[in-house]
Amino acid sequence: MRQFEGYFEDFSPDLEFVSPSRTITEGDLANYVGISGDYNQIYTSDEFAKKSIYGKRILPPLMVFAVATGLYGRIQGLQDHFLAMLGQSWIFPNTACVGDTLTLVANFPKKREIHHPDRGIVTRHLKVINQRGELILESEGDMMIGRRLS
Amino acid sequence: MGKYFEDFEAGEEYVSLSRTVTEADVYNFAGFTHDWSPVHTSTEFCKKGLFGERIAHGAITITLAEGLLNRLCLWDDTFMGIVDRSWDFKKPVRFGDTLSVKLKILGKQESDQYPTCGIIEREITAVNQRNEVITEGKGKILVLKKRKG
Repeated sequence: MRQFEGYFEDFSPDLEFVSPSRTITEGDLANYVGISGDYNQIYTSDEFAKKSIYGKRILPPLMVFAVATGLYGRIQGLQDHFLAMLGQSWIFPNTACVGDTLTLVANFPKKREIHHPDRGIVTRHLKVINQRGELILESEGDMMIGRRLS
Repeated sequence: MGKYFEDFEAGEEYVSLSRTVTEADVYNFAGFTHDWSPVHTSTEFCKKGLFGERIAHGAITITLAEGLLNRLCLWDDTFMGIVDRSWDFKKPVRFGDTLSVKLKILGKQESDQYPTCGIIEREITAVNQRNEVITEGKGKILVLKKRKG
């Protein structure tokens, strides 16, 4: 089977890619909270979170976003000719917690040529699901991807 | 104690503290995300690239911006999650750049899903030390309402 090469020409709405899965640990959460400075108590205090609308500590939604960017990069070929990310939007329909196993699913519903001959714009649609198939986040965004030059 | 949903008004503006983005931040973020792309981690690779030097992950601006916003202490005990977030990337972050975040409250609305909370819409602009816009965007968060009685 021919390996996906990640040029603009290779992206197609027929293709769906699934990342490796990743179990999120207390260590991951501690790392993220440390790096980001986003240490709100719903992420970091059991006593506070028990009385919250979730009943327990949740993962920062933007931590799941950050994990998603890494899972995307681990799908072979997808980023090989990536030039830049343009606009993107994310929704967070469900929360995730330490101990959840997350997987990313990527589709590319459309693409368009632009005035530069060496690149084009590909729209990517991402979902992150947990081990129960629940949708944790969903995103759409445009990427600049290099063209295969003859 | 942070502000409750009722205490926020459309039009309020805030500016965060600043934070210098270091090589250590970027390598920590690469380790955390597993994104070791050479555009972030190889000086040799980047010499021939678009910017001539390593740049931070795009995602790092978004996560650091949220940390800077958290440290405004506007919603310390009242923040209850992010509903959505969108942005455009305008400029790269080079190692050693200093980010700060401008926050504007765009508006508020009820939450159908969580009646003890309301939704606040934020406009978030991250700028560097030259006041150049790195990312601009917006998003809604859940904020606790005041308890009745």
